[in-house]
Amino acid sequence: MFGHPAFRKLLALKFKGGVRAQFQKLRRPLNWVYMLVGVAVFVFWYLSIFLVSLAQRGAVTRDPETIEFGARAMLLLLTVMTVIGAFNHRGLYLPKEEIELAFSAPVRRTDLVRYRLLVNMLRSVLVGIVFGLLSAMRMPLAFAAFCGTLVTICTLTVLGQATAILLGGAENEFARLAKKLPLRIVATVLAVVLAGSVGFLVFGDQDFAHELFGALPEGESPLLRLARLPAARFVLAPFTPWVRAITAPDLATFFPWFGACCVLWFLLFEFTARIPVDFRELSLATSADIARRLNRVRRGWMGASASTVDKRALSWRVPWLFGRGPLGAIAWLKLGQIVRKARGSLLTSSLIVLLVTVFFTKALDEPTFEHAFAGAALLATVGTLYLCMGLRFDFRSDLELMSSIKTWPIAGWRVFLGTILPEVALVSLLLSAAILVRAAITGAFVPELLCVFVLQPLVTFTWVAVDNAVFLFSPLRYSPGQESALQHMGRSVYLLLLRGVVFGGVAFVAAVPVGLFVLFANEVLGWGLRGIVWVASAILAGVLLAAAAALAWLGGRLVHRFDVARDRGT
Amino acid sequence: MAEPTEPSIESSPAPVAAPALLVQRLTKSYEGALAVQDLSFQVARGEILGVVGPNGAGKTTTLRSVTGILPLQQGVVRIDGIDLVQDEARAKHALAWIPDDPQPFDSLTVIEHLEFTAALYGVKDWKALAGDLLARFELTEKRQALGGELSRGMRQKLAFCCAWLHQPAVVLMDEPLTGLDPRGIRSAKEAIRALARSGTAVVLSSHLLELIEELAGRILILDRGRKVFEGTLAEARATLGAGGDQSLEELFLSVTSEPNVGGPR
Repeated sequence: MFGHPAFRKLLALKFKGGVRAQFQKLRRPLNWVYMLVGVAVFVFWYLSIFLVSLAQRGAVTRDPETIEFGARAMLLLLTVMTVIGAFNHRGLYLPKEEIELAFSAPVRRTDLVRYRLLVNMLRSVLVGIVFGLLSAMRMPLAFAAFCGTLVTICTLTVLGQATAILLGGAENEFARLAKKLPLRIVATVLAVVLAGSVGFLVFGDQDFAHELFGALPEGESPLLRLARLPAARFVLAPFTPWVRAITAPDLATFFPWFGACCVLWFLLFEFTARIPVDFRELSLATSADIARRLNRVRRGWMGASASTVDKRALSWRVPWLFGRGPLGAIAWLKLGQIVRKARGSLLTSSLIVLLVTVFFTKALDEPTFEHAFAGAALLATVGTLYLCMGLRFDFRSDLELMSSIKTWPIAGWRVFLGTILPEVALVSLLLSAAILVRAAITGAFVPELLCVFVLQPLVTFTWVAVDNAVFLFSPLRYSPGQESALQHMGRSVYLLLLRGVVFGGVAFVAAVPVGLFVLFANEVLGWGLRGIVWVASAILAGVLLAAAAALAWLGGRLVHRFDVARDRGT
Repeated sequence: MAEPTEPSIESSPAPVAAPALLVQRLTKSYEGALAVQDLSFQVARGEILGVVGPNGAGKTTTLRSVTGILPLQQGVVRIDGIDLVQDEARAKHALAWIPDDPQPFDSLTVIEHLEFTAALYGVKDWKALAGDLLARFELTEKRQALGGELSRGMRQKLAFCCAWLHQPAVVLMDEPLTGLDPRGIRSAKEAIRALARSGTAVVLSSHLLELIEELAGRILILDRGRKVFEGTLAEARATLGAGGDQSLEELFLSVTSEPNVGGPR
């Protein structure tokens, strides 16, 4: 059942190698700091789940039918997500360093599948533990919920692999048709249709549901009424063994269902290993595709910058936004990356920002000055956080270029500014558009919005500059599959704290003059809120500008300090 | 799965002494485009066959089909007399493959790669043999180095060691000298010759025509998936050239077309 002994040995060697790599990373003292913070976050996260589950036990008093329906609905959702996810890994995924070796080795393909299933399941155990703890606090018997969830997650992992292989078989059979089908789009459409159907059933027109399924049975809650629909019962019936194991009220009920789940897992495992599909060509294609994507991420191209160049954008002329000098040339280079790689992401981000803006403006806003100003400020702040995560075009993607950049006859601060200004400009442009859309909807074109337009780019610049300064100081890049997850987690916390310190410092420095002015304006000049906003914004902008200048100087020093032989991002 | 083979192939008369590698009527297409067409050749024990051809000629596709990395669509491949489709695992046991860009495991040391290879091919008492191989390819000092730390040339040397470890009947190599320094090239050439002397059949695909000319007993020239020539260099001169002592490069250029850029390898 556990496959070829050589692949079991490989699993053990890779585990040993992973542990060894962790210790090797700890040769740098800073990685100790990152790892300790990461471990603390990890432990805190697990403990919080555990303690919350302990605290909430007993407080949860739902009836068994609602609990069972909830569990079935959750399993349906997880199954659908697993099946949709399999569209991305048709065939058997093997990493690029394993695939040619595995396919040319004297190993049966069933053993290769078994090996891969074991790897996937070992990875899913961590997810299973988290889900198990979460379900333990909601179900009648914690032990049953935990074990039942764990075996469910393991079964879903095997189901995902089986689906991927069967999809591979289908693609082999209908190769030409499948080549023409945009499978990712089909998967997305399926997901949207499913989400829409569920949404409609829950929130939609009851008359239509009546016609489709018959009258909703009367019940205590909408959830129970939905659960009693014949269609819902039919769709959710296959999940019975796992649901009964998870929601078992006592051990006597739990063990038979758990045993059945284990048998089903074993049968699915063996079925998956023996599916008579030759997945080699698809696996080679999948492996090459994922290797390309991982390589892009490993080179620091995250978010939109991880996309490939869109050839349709080659005809677009890249504007020289920051002049034709050395700084402008670097910014132009970066802007070219954005225009050519993030065409789709830009459109998607614009759409998301627009939709969120319209939705929340419609739902929450009133056309008063306070709402207009505070809403715009909130939009600018949240938008900065969101867009800076997705539209990331900074030093991470330039790490391989650093040896060239170091030879350029340009001051470090200009390199720093030229590299991050395009991202700042892009985010600012999108957010300004969103603020204008919002103002158009509410009809509140208050002049004080100008303050937001001025402050937002400065806040975005400070946010991005701190991130890049930390990266240049300690260029650690993380990508899925690497061993440095804990260091990455620790580093993220450290970065968040540092940003808090910088913005806290800015607020502290600005607070004294702003406070004094507010007192003076109120008591002596008798100014209202709007006048105070103008002056307070001007003071804050001044302090932010000073912080930005300091960060640009620091960034320049860090570019100068950067050692291409030592700082390789791993 | 490979389609059923044609009866004529199955019933063709077997060679007097079974070759170490026999390829008959191999055909491979990608999305309708033929990458390899009706290709047949064989390699005897102890022989080195050089495979040459322009980009897109189908060299790598041929080698990957023979190793079982790509499924056989049409044709027969026998390794050490064992049919690759009928008894895949046993056939592959007699085979070693060195790709053009070997990818070691990032987190495994050099010696652990050999440990895993020994387990994969069931090699008992592998440690002494591994020690000899590491010494031959000047990797002894790197035995504890991680795969991710190795240079291109060292990765190539490690691939040689792994391929040699189970003493295969057939070794297939795709551009085996890429990235090696002059000393590495010399030891690799010597190792290939020694391997052939020990009775292993070697298939060597390379764009380095001097290397093929120097090492290969016979050459196989491919162009756009078809066999243009198979035989010794002397036979090639007699058949393809205008006589005299033309180099392999001159012969190659005279019989092959312009590179098919972007086509299947």
